[in-house]
Amino acid sequence: MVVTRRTGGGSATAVSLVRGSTPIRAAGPGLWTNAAQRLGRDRLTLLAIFVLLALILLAVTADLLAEHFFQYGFTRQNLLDNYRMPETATPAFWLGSDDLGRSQVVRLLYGARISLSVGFGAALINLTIGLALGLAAGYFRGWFDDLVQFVVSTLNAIPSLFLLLIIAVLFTPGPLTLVVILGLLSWGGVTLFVRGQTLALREREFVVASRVVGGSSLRIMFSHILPNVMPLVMVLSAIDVGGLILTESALSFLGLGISPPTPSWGNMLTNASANLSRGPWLVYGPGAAILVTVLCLYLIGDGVRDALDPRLSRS
Amino acid sequence: MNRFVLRRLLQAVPTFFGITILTFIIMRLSPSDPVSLMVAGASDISAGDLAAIRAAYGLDQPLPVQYFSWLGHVLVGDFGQSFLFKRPVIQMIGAALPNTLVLATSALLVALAVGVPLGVVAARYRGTAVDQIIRVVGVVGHAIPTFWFGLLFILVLSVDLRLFPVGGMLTIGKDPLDIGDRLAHMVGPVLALSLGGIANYSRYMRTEILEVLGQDFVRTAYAKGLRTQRVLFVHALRNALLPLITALGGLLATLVSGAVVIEQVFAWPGMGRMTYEAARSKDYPIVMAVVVISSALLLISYVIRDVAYGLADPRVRLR
Repeated sequence: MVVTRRTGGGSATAVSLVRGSTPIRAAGPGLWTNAAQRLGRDRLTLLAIFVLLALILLAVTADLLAEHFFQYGFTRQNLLDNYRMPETATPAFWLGSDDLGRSQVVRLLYGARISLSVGFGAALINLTIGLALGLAAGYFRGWFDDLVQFVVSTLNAIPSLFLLLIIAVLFTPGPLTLVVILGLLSWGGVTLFVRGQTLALREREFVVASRVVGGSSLRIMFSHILPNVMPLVMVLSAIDVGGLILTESALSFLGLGISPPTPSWGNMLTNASANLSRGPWLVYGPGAAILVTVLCLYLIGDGVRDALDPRLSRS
Repeated sequence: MNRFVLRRLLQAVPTFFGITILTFIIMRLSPSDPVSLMVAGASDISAGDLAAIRAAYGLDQPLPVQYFSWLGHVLVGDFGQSFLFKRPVIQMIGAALPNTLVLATSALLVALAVGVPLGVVAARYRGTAVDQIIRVVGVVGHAIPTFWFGLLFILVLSVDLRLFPVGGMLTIGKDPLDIGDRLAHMVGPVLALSLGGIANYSRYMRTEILEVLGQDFVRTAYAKGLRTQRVLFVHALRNALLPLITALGGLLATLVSGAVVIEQVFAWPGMGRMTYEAARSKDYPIVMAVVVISSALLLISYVIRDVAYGLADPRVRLR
């Protein structure tokens, strides 16, 4: 499907040329205004946006909260306080403590920081690559398109976790390298999507019109096609970030992503599974945190898509 | 039809070579040197000895020469020996692969058996609370980390309620042909693996059924007095199932990937677990073989999918 958006210059000129003296219809509310109105009525999506923003806020303020509210650093250990059951008396032990007496709730906060930044960082990389390659492949077609398609189908044919496993083991990544690796391996889906959209859009009248008045390839790609692809790419990116957070947590759970002592939700679960019999409560928090975050991102993706294109709406 | 199959097979060939090149390059880019790993633990190795080992394994040759010599062996199924176990890699994979395939196919069947009816029901009761609940189940199925689901399963059903074994493939000391025991071990991993598929299929089926329900033959079926149940499950379902074939190929890839984590959680002796351990001990030959073999299997499954689709819907062949 294609979201049509009023594009400036080119198409308007073309219309007025054809219609001659007929005045151009006054512009109605734009795509985003309409979408925002529809979104305002979608309670579930609004809730998801609210929860995600709250999570981001908690992640950003993790240092302040740990120091002033919980008064317990994320690396602080106290073997006398190990395996404390969750209790309401001490804020630091709201969710109990682990085998080294570290505060579970404080580590969850720092884990949010890691998970969210890895997810958004890697998505930024794969979206940039995907948009550039997809636009170019769909617009220029020919050998470049063949090459891009070949590389994507090769990457897609390798089970992704195997590939990540190998690369993670060979290069033992830190958080930053992990972001780059995840981003560099996950652009296939976005690229194919953008390519498909571009192939359809390049035949549309407003693109042809722009070519007629002498618009360059770069101008057509970036100021006519890109704005039309962008809304759906943003929807895709919410789902993309969710998927990346899941992948990061799985890798960290296997001990190949973020490595301790830096807490990530995945490696906290590794620790929990090693202490399953003595501290079963340690299992709930990190998993629930991943679930809620990814769920919010998926719901936002769904909701924004419905808002952008009511024809696709579920009800 | 034959030409369609042949063309599809030929398209897979360059992809296969692409995979071997990629695997080879990643392994050679790695900062850790295979020779020093091989002799790890042995003291008093002179530079001359190292050079001799290099020459013996052909590691002193230029990279393209090394690649083609490796490829030559791979094409006849020779993946060399494991550094760690000193056994032929192909033997080790032969022992582990069936266990993973058992998990993946069972998960696929469960996903179909649960996901398809859910989707049909959601379409039937479109816009009602039932539809909403199924939608939420679908999104949660996508968003839940499978390994966390596995841990919860172990914690609640295996440790607390003692309903299922905590891991492994069979109880040690029991008759290995005890089907009940084997099935009990499979419940957890299969359930965890099938969550994503259930979510996918219910969503997919809902869309497809809704699309089919708007068509003329459905109206005809209603008009001749058939019951809703029959129209839905016989007339609509059969036509909505067709596009489902395309969703099958991609799912296998997800299942094989997912098995890496799930096998770790449930101590299932499959290919994922083997790869994980080989990767951790930098046992290159095993890792390279697993990537090449699993990718080849995926490629074959994609070809089968396309051919099946071509058989079911002749219009596809024309493309």
